[in-house]
Amino acid sequence: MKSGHEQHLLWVLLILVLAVAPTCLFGQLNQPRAEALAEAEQQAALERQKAQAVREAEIDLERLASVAAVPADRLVGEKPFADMEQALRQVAGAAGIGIERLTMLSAEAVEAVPGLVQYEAEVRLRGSYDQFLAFLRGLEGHRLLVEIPDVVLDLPSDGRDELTPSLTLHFYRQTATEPDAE
Amino acid sequence: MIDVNLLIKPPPVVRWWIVTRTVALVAALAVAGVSTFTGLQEMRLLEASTAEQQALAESFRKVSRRLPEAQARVRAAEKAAAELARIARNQASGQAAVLDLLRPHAGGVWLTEVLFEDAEVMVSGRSDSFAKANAYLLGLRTLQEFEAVAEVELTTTSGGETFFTYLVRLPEEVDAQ
Repeated sequence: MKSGHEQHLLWVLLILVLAVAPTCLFGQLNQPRAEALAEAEQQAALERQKAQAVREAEIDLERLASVAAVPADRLVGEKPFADMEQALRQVAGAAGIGIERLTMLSAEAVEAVPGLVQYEAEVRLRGSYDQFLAFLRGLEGHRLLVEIPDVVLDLPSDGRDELTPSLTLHFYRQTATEPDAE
Repeated sequence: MIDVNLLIKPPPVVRWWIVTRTVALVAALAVAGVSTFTGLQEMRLLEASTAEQQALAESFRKVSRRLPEAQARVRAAEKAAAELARIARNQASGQAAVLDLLRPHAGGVWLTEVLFEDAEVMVSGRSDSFAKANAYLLGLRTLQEFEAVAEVELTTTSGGETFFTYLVRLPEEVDAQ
């Protein structure tokens, strides 16, 4: 038989256990769930950052689309030599200089720009220095993309302001469309 | 456990204890009930939130799988844009204006080759005397449009004919973009 004090103590313990036990129990049960949630949140945040980076990259691609490709009207077409010849004759005609020879030298892909082919041609002219400069200015402002990497000025005939300069020219043609943006 | 009769009419000696004990017991049961309820609620909430975050992560993952490819395409587009910008700059670089400036005005000096390479121009030519070739070089050096003019090669034959190669550096162009 327990004494009165022991009985009181047991009651106090019982009441305390009743009051505290569920809190402790659920604390233990929910701890791993809280950890799993924290981990899932961290994972979601990480993936969100990557997804955001993808969206930013897609925005960059849209922004770059206009400068990473040459507009069609600045390129020679299916007959590059004929297109080049026509363009050069028009510019030469406007400058008053004569074309003595036009030679296609090579065609090679531009590595940095998918599908873009660079045609190298050499043109030999005959005319005065001023006419030659006017011809160059015509090419500088031409709608076609023309690069002039090299200019060779043959010596003028004695006593005459006449040159027979040669120019190396680069024209460009798109042979394939760029891969899909998606 | 709880003697109702004692609650209604407890003996005087034990009444305070019974009342206290009963009240404490009821309070403890109430606390336990509330704790259980909130514990279960929290458990359900945690599980639901975890599932939601996992679903969210999965949906982001579907997009983020494209990240390496997207980054590679951006790099390729930037490279292409830089190359095309370089070509366009070359076209509009004012080679005619440079050639106009390089034109020898004094007689007896002729240019034979002009090679454009980015912001540098290699000018080769011939003169009928060393003095004229040198005067042409000095004349180029007075032009404000050129950043620097250097002599690369200067050869004079016994007959006085002089062959020269000068390097002209153009000022760095200001990016219009």
